[in-house]
Amino acid sequence: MQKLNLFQLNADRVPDLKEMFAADFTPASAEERVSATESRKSVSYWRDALRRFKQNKVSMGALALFFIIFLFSFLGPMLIPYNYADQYRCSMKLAPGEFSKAEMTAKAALEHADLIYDTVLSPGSISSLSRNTTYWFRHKGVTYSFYNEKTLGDVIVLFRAEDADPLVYISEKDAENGVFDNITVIAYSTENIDTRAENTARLPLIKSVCPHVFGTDSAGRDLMARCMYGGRVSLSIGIIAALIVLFIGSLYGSVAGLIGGKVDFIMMRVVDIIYSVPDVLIVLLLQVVLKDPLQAWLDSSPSGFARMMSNLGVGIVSIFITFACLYWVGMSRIVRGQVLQLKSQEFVTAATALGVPRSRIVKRHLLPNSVGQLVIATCLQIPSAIFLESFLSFLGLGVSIPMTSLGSLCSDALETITLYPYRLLYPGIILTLLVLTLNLVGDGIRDALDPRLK
Amino acid sequence: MKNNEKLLEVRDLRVSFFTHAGEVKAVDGISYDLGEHEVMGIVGESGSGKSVEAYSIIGLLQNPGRVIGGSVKFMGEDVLAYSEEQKREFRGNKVSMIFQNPMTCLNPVYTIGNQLMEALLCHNKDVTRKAAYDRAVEMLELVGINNARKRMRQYPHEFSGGMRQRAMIAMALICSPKLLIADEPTTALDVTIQAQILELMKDIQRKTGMSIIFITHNLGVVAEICDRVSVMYAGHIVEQGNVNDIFYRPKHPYTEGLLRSMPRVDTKERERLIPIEGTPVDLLNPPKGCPFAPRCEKCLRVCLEHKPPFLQVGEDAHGSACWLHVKEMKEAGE
Amino acid sequence: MLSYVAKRIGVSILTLLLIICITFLLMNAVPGSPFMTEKSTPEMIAMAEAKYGLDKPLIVQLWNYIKGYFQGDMGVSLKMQKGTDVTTIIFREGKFVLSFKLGVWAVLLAVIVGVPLGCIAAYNRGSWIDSVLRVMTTVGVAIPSFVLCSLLLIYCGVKWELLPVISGSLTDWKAYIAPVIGLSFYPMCYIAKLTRTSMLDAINQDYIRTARAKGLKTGHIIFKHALRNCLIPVITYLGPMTAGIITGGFVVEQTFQIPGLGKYFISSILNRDYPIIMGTTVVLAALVIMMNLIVDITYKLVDPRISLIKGDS
Repeated sequence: MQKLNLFQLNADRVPDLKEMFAADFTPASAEERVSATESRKSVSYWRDALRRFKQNKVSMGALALFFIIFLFSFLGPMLIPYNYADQYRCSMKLAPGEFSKAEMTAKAALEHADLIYDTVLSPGSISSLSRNTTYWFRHKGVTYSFYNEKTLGDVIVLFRAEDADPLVYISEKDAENGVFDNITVIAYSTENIDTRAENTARLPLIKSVCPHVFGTDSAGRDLMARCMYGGRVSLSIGIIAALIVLFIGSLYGSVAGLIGGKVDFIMMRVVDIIYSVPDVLIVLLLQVVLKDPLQAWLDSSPSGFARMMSNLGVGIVSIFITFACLYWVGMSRIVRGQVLQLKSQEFVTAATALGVPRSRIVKRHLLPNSVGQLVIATCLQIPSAIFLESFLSFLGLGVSIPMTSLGSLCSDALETITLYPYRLLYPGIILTLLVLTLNLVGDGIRDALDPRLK
Repeated sequence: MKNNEKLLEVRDLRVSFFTHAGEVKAVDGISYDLGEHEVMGIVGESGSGKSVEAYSIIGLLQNPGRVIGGSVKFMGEDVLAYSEEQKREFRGNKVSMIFQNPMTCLNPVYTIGNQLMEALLCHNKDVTRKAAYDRAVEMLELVGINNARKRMRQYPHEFSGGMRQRAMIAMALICSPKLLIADEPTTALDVTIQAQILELMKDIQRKTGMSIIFITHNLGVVAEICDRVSVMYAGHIVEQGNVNDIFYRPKHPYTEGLLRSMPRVDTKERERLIPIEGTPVDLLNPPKGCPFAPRCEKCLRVCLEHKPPFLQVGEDAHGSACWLHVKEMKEAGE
Repeated sequence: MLSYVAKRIGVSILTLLLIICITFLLMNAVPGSPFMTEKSTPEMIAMAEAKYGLDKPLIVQLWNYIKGYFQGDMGVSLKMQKGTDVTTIIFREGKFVLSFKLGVWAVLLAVIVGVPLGCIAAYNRGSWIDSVLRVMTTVGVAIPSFVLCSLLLIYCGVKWELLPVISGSLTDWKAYIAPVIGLSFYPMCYIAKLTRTSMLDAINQDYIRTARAKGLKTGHIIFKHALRNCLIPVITYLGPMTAGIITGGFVVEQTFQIPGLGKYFISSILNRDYPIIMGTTVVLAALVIMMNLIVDITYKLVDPRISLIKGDS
């Protein structure tokens, strides 16, 4: 019997001969062999990228923060009673959370009533009840209305549902001094009236005085409402500008890349020239130059499109035009680079060799593989658009009054910065966070689609 | 029988990569000896672990890879236990390595001469620049590059592929190492250049007497240059022996399959190639028993359950890890 | 190499000409004359225009402009400093020098601080130093420059009184600190990020593996092999960075009330003083173009693969 020699190197692992001989030496069948190997589930490229993105805690956090800011800007106005343009004469230059004298008075008055209407607290220059007007309001399904003969200024209307005389008013002065029993009764009726008739107005009673969380500016406008509005403007401009760049850039770049040859050469020379022009200088010039003629054109043109544009304001439209003229070049280079790279890949050659028509190659092979780069580029274009817009607004060349953006809010705050630093801090921080979160999300998408061992 | 001192002793080396997806057992217990003046070929498919084990010997293994077991003794000293500084001293000096793709392996912004000299100057503090320059020229001539002095001032992109690999070899040899590890040095080159480089390496090995570990997936190359061969599959050495035994008397089904699948000059026309069926192993989830079992046509039930022992199967240090040998023993004994 | 340089210089001059033309066309696209005020009659306007040569056909005006520019004559201010030479306003009243000094300091600070920070982060990848630096630089590139400058103004300048902020004409060296920091912060953070990424890229290259296999010291590998290759993207960034510093300068000068070229430029835009707008645009554009040219040439010097193309691509 031939000696069973364990190879000398592994001499320390002396096997049990008996055990070895007792093994099952019958041949294994093909099925047994196959079942011995579990194959891993194959994961699609996109699902894999999504998984990687979800694992990236920083990007997920940034995405969540971005949504918070987004909701703040777009849904926030529904939560606070203040408007970005309303000027509250009585509440000027308030610090965050601070209440003005008039507001304190109103709060005191609320302790003596269910609902109040304080003429001093109303926005704008009208701080009185107009004469010859029927005021109405609804409470628990009942419409209360009363006719006001004379102009009634500096009063607080109190509504106590359970009282014999539920609707009364007191003078502002009395309320300031803490005197709440010098009341004048208002004759009211609960009949149904036509609320849309002339000389009727709704009486906006309030249940509580909402604090100005961010304070107010010198004209008495609530800063939080303005920040929300500014956020909306900045975000919208950023997103639309990025989409414009995406559209023009990818069209141009893919045409250049697909056609190739002389056409590509000429198109890319044009891109090079535009690229070498210092953009911000031209942007500034364009802003100046476009403002007046654009305004003239918008005023004179009757089309609906022009109407919409003029609502946006000349500043914004000219920002869009400058973007459309200058900023698509970066995107077109990226797209062209992608197209060229993909065109030379073997799967495209294989598809062409199989006789697949060009449009199908574009649709099924080139587009899906480019989407990743396009998403990243667009996502990173939004913050740079927001940056540019706020830069222009800061210098006074961006959005025009009455519209405001985060950049112009910062610019306005600069004058009184030593006294009221919070006026700069709030829009400035929101702006920074907006840009930061978008940058992080863009980076996260890039890492998810093209992972390198970090 | 050569009286070889053991230059390199690898015992039960285990290397794993700890990735997000789990532990990848790249090398799962391999052992071999290498004597002085010997050329050992390590053969295997991609993913068999052949490069990884070479990197662990020379200390180039990086995160997330780690040596998790075994020992590597070079001239009696345990290299795995070296400090960083000791490893650095050891690399390039006692053991050198050359790699697969010579274009990317040379720094494009420095001249060839600069890169040649720096290895020497780094390891030998008392060498003058002039002496280093002369030695570098000497090395370039040794590897067959003409006009060596002119070439010293040129940049990598001015060399052709074959010349770059020669320059890499010169760089590796400049400190006269005892061991050269060559990781697929000819794979990226044209066939004719391949032959030249192999000739060069054989020549140098004869002249300088250093040992070489030659990693490749190409059996033809192995036949040219190697004295001994280790066949690796999925992180294990499945067969080991001297080159004639491996080629003419293979004992492991995998080795047999490899040899059979090579296209040969003397086959009749229209004979089909005979591949090895199946797909390579998923190292995240390796099979319980013999790693080759699912693809082996001679697979036994025990192969799926238990790892086979590594047994001597002939004379002259020829070993193979297969349950078939145990079965033969048993049947011979009955 | 020489032909490459000549080609690049030619392209730069062409671009400058293009800018002059574009600016000129834009200025003339605005309807209305710069001389129009409420009280002016058409005859007065026509006389004023004739005096300044604005009644000649556009092409002639353009040609005169270009000729003038290359001779150093940039026309005369029409609104802000009536009658004074634009060249004098820009160069001899100290405006350009002021802005230039500010810009140069900012560039130096950005590079001298940014590159080492990036290297440190890359070298210590994964450690807390790396994390801190990454957070700092990521937030740093998100802060708009005007926010940063305003913050510097309030907090460092007024509240904590660390730095003098009525910077005026920057006579005192201390007055430079706040505006230079405000101006260089964004490029500094960007360069740090860029250096870190390209250093990490360089470290993962095969030739670094070869260098390690040769047994070279780690410090030696980083400074000799990795650094030079990683600086290439940073050098490329210097071009766009110049443009950024110029535009950032507008904000800084506005915030800190520094009477430099940027602040003047903004006023001229708001005041529609066309010769000054044009002159300043051309000067600033020339700066950027020159910088791009220098960068392109340096780039070829640093990376020998490209400068020594002799029929080998």
